[in-house]
Amino acid sequence: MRKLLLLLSMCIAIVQLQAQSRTVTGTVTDEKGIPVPNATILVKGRNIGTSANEQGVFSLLVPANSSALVVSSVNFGSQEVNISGRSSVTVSLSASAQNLNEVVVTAYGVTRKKAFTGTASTITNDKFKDLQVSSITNVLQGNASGVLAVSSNGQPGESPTIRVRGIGSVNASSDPLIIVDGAQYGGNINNINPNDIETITVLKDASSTALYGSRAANGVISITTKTGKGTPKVSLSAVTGYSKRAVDDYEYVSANQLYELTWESLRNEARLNSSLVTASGSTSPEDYASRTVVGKLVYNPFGIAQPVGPDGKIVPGTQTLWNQNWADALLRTGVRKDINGSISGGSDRTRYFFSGGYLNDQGVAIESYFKRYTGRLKIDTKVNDWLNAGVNTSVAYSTQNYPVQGGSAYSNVIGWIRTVSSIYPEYILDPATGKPILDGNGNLQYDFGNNGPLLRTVLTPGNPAGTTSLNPTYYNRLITSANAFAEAQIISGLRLRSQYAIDFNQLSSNTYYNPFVGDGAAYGGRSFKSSDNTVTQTVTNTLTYDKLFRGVHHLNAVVGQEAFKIHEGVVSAEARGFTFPGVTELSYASTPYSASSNSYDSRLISYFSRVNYDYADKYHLSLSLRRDASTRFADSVRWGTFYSIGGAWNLNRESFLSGISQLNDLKLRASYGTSGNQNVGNFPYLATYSAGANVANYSGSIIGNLANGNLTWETQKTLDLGIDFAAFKNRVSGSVTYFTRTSDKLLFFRPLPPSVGVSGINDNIGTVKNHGIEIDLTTQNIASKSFQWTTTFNITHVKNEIVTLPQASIAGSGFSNLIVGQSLYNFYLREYAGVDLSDGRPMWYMDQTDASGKVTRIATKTYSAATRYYQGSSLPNWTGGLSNTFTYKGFDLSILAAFSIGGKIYDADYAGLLYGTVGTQSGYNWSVDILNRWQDASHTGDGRTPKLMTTTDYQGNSSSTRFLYDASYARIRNITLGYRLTRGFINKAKINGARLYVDLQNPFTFFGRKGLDPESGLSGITSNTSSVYKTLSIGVNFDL
Amino acid sequence: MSIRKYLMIAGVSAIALTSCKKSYLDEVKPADGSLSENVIFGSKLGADNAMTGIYYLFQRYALGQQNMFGLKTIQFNFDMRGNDLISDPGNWWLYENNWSDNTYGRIATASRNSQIWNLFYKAINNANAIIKNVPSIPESQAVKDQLTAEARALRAYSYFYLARIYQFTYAKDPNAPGIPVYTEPATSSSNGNPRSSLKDVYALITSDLEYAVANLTTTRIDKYRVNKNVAQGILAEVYQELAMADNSLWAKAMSNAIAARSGYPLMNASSYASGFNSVANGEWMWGIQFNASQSLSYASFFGYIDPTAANTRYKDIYVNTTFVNLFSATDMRNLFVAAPGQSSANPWKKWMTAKFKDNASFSGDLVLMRSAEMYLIEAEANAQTGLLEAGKDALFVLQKQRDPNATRSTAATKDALIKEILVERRKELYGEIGVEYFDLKRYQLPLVRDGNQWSLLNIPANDNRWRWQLPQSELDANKSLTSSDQNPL
Repeated sequence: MRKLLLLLSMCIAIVQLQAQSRTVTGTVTDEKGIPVPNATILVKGRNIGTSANEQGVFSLLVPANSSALVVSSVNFGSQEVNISGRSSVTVSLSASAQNLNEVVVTAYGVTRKKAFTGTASTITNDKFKDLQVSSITNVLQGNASGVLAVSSNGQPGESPTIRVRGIGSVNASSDPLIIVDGAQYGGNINNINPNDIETITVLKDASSTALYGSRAANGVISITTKTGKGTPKVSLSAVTGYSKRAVDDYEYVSANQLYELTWESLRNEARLNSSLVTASGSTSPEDYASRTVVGKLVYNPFGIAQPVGPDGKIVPGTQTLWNQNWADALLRTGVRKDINGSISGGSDRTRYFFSGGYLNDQGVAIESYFKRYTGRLKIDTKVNDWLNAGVNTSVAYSTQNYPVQGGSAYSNVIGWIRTVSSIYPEYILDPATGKPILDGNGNLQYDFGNNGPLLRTVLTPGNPAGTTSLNPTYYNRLITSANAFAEAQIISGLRLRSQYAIDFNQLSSNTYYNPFVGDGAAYGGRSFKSSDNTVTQTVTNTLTYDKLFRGVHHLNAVVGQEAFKIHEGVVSAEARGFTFPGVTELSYASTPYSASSNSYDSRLISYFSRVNYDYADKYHLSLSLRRDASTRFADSVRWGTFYSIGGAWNLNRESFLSGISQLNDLKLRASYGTSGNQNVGNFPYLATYSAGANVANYSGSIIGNLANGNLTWETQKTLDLGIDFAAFKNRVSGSVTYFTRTSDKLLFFRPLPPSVGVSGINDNIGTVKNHGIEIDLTTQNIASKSFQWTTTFNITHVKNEIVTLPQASIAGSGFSNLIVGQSLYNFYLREYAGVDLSDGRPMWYMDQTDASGKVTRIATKTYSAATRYYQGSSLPNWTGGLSNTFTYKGFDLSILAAFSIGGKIYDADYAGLLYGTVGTQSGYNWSVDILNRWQDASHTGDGRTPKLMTTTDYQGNSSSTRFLYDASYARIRNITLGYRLTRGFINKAKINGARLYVDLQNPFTFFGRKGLDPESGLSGITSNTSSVYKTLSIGVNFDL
Repeated sequence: MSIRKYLMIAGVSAIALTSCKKSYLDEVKPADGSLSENVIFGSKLGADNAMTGIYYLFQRYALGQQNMFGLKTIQFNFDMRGNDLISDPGNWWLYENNWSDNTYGRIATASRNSQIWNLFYKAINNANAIIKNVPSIPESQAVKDQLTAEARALRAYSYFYLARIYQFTYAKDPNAPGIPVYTEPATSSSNGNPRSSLKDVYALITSDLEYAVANLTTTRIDKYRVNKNVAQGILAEVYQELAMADNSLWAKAMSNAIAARSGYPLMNASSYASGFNSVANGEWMWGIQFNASQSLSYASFFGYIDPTAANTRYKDIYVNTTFVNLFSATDMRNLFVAAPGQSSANPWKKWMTAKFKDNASFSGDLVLMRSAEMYLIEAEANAQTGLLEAGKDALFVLQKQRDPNATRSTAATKDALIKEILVERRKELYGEIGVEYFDLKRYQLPLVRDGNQWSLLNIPANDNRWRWQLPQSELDANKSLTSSDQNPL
């Protein structure tokens, strides 16, 4: 049926063909003739448009019968230009913006903000061109309302987790859909060069995402790459930066303090268990502690047998032979270099943009880096008077060395600093003198804990200072994308566009453990290689009809069809037994160890339509309908239908408001609609056995998935109510949007009782609601000819709430427990009641129910008996950003701050640094806060830190609110000071422009906890990961 | 010109529409290692494949922590709860050693608890699927009966562990609530069954095992599979548990134990010292097999206990001096070695055991059952039924073989002899099947720690701590259970 319709419409089209189109080029300047960058150019009365480049130059293909362009830019008023009989125009804009004339890139088209019925945040290149980011999604935080972007790691090349308007799914992915130039992007986002990007648009409401309906439940991030325009232009830029941790690390105890504290724990234990004193032949608990403390810690940097006296203090006059600073050994100042060049331009027939980029971003953790080489060619041409065609191809190759920076592996460089105390040296030292013991060649030898005279008690054998360079962990990515289109004008106003996009994404990884020292020694070295190849293909055909009837009725209709497929193949192998250093290829190994391969396929077919209508630019209506079939659901239930309806009313065009001259724009808008989510693995509805359950050389399989033939699309229902405004000659503009986003028929892995032998089944069950408000405000505080000051502010409030669940309570990830009424990311924890000041033991609260059923809260010293309570969520209540931009003559200064209010963070790393049971972690590193411990009834410390013991474990470090903190913070994301060289110099140098700038990334962080970086992932639980960097960069841009 | 335009537009449309065929969606099939049920149960080979899957669960089903990999770590978790083995107080197994009520323990939210529960119930569900589907495979009745018998033996073995862990011993109260019982595989409508009484659970266990003994043969593909001998061995253990309540059952425990060990002679001293890492050992009746690529690496049991392992292993399991002192110098089992790094600060670092040593590829097999235990069951059955001399004889067969200087028991009373047998069981079987823990539970005795244990626990008999809580995830999802069904803390 749909085929027929499409063919029919094409037949009609073919009969009626007539019209032509032509290209208009131009330059946009301000009143003084200085180019206005990035202005928006629209054909009057049409949703056809483009934007000018940084030099104000544009080129636009316009329908032959168009008579005028509407040109606008932020901070400038809009200007109508007659183009009848002209192919080149110069437009002079006067200050004060027609804010609502900005364009918004929507699904399968662009629209003016004024006509837009939905909610979207657009970030133009201007906002991020100076940000020192390797991954484009890093620019979202603070710049876009409704978007939560959380970094969990400082490894260069890693992208933050992005959530648009809260979290809508439980088991299906909550990642937004990423669209690059109209096609779903199949690669890793970190392989898109931010320098190639013109705008990033975050589509949030149903009316703007509905045309991506099948995958848009979590919002859409639509990226548009740059297009060439006007006279040929060569741009070059180079920037160098230096990075270190954005916040200082925790403060650690010294070697002396570590010894004294360990002594105290031994004494405390012996006071409790007198047999220790007698068994060791000691005279008192103090004597026992002095005699045994060296045996406990093994490494003795004091050169004397009993460095701690019976008073618990280091014997006066004792020298400390070494006091290792592990952070110095394992961290460094990262250096970042980013060099980019592009050539772009366009004639009236052909536009081109090509670019190349090189990035070398070193991490703060030793050996970590991300290198990326990118190239892009984007060209489109007017083949004849009715046909346009273009291609956008890019290739990116990146190589990332990713030493372990998280979790409990011995090789985790961050974990190492937090775990191994200063009494354990980097190199093997002579315990008597503290001098290095050299190997036969006179070189220093790394101390792995078991290769010197002593056996270390902590993380033995290991030493990432020695192994990180010997054990490379590479991720090499090759991504090529091609996106070609042809667009035919069939009759005036009716265009047929076909687009084909293909991404090839190859990820080769190599994890290697050398045969000589560390983790791989027992196996003679191990090398694990994996090659993961993904091909994503999208074919899209759209028919667009755009016409103005009788001067006031504007109709824009789109029908289309899309087919999408993704194929992923993974091959991996491991070999063991290496002889030579520095070679990681499997062929050098003696023993092939394992090999495996799998492939994954998924496909979609979609049909969609949208009608936009407006009456005299006053009343706007947008309707859309989409049908999708996914291979992820059984034949009978694989089709999903998604729709949206949106309306906008430009109130200021009404006569009753026309008298208010201060009001430039006022728009009310509302939209409602549905979208889908199918991100749950490839065949979630089939009953399967999983192969590979082999024993010795006998193959086996076990029950994997239970059948659920009814499994179908998760549905998201979104309602938006908003108001957009501009006033006082557009000096103040903004918008306020209220939204609710309800995810229904959640793709839930419904837990089954573990006793049935299967942990759960994929089902459509449960509801999650996100609702909140987004506010955007821009003010032009000063707009004199020589000095401008603009402020933009955005703030978002989102509340995440579980509405229905398949059972009363489900254990979630981390510390969360899912129940109705709570957030998906809650903390369900025991509540710490501090230390009993009489005995130094930790306490927690518990609910005690008496015979009459009355519940009272009492303190208990038995951790397992304590009650768990809901202690808030890791999701912030409010997030936002504030940016101020100043320009004075050739200077520009911008300051961007991001903030987050509410939400909790559980500092598991800090908990590890306050371990109170020395016997289980002797020699482990301590925070200096351990000095505030309970010592005796008259020295009770801070009332929160229990007494130290060796083997008696009071569980004071077990998870509780003791380590749960308010995660509110503010961070200056960026300060950029730029200087655009004077015309005189430019003319002398025979170049078109030059700008120098200094950029400070994350220079200041305002947060209540020392040592902890507030950006620690969505779940709000720290895991010894590297953290966000602060970077000082100096850069230069030339336009030749 | 307009002809060209038609042609191009028609061409684009043709390309566009070719992708709309229905087969575009239907030709996609799983290729990620999953198989459909009808492929599995299309042949004996398929059913064998599914059977091997159950042993795979025993080999390596993992949950939570690094020391929660497979059945061996469940058994060793119970070994560590006795008095004979000591962990380093700063390394793996310290919480098991200390009976800590945390994620390594018996509490409802513990990972260890879920590892135990999930592993055995997954085995049961996979066995139930085989029991249900085997009758329809195109094979002879004898072949089908044998497959069913093996699946039923594995189901019984799993229920036997669960029954002993989640309730006090059968003899304390046969009507006490045991565990949920399933004899059908899970479907999308499975909502969970209530706790069956121990009596009902053991009725199913014994009927499964009697069926298995009747239908299995002594031949098998390899030693990881259950054959008739193994089924008899499990049945002997089950009757040993039940006989504590019904003395008449000792006869069945004994007859099954004697039949089970037939063909599996006691090993000699050099075998005993070879590391307990290969099913090639003639005394082993049943073991979990590995090949080199199935090494559990750091999570391997050997990595913790083997004192001769490479320096990359933990080597943090020590032996209590009071236990070491039970072994004579000439006992082939006296494989204790002095622990490195001894100091008065670490009194538990005294002895380690070289009983378990990994093979060269870190993939040593793990023992599940061997003849020595069958001799000890025979001895205990005799002692329990008053046949003291026969009991001493059976015991002495083992003792004499292990230690040329061993002397026959001179115990004057039944209780004294049983006490000796229980000590001999620890000496012979420590580190294998949680022998000390389950014997204390079975005899309703307290755990009284001594020697150089750093955790000097004293757990009274039938204290709540002997009875594991049902996992919270079970109570949350099982529609037949309420909080009143939970074992008290």
